[in-house]
Amino acid sequence: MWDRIKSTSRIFTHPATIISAAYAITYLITATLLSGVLIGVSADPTASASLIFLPHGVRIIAAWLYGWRATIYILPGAYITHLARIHDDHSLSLSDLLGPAFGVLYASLCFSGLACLGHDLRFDASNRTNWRDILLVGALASIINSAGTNLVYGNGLEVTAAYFIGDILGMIAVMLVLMFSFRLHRKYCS
Amino acid sequence: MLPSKLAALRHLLHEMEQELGLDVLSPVQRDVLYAAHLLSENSDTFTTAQLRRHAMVLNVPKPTFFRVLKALLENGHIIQGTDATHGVYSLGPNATK
Repeated sequence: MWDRIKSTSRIFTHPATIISAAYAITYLITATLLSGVLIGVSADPTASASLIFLPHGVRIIAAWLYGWRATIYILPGAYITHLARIHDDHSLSLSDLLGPAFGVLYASLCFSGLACLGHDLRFDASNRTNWRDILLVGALASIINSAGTNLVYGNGLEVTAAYFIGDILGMIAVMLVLMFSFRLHRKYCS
Repeated sequence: MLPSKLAALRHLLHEMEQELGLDVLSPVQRDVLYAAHLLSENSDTFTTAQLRRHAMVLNVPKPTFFRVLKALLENGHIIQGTDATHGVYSLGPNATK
């Protein structure tokens, strides 16, 4: 019985569960509360560009903490968000599933690229990373992501800029929400 | 999530809180910190008893005092001295912020 409880709790505290849950929750909040438009209703990518795209914050933090492994950890979350959208499109395209993973991969590549240039910001328990550096990597990853999306879908500059702004504001929002959550935890639970 | 990763995330966001000036001290925390500053004028270190007897914190209830002391330690406003078992403290790196 005790072993069963332990193995169940291990599933809930596994990075894949936490990252996927965080991705799915932030994605659904963005889709329902923040964007004001239903994701996937329109084929026009501008309709799904949100001013505050919260999942970008999850992608960057996941990539910082887990590197390239976060690309795998986020896949269940990507599938869950797809399931939440199947009321208008039952087909699961490869880009639906791999899009979020690529978002994390870009961030992970940014961390590795900066490390090659002598600015190692990757997670290391002995090495303290500043929050501004995380925002910088998030901005770089967003540029690559927006440019990649632009190449695939042939979006204009306006849409690319909308994605970039959404990513940056989303990342800041996630960090602020986490910051205030930890602050409340310190205040009331310690 | 590994505790080291959670700790790193908390540390990162705590730094953000401090640098954004959102880590504001409560009036009681300020009083205790001012008392610590005054005690540090004569000596590099001060004890819990000295701080507790200081006129600025004399009216602070005991549980509140220790809760505030813990918060100031966590925020780096004060640090434990080498003789921690006897409640010896000194001003920390964030004491002047």
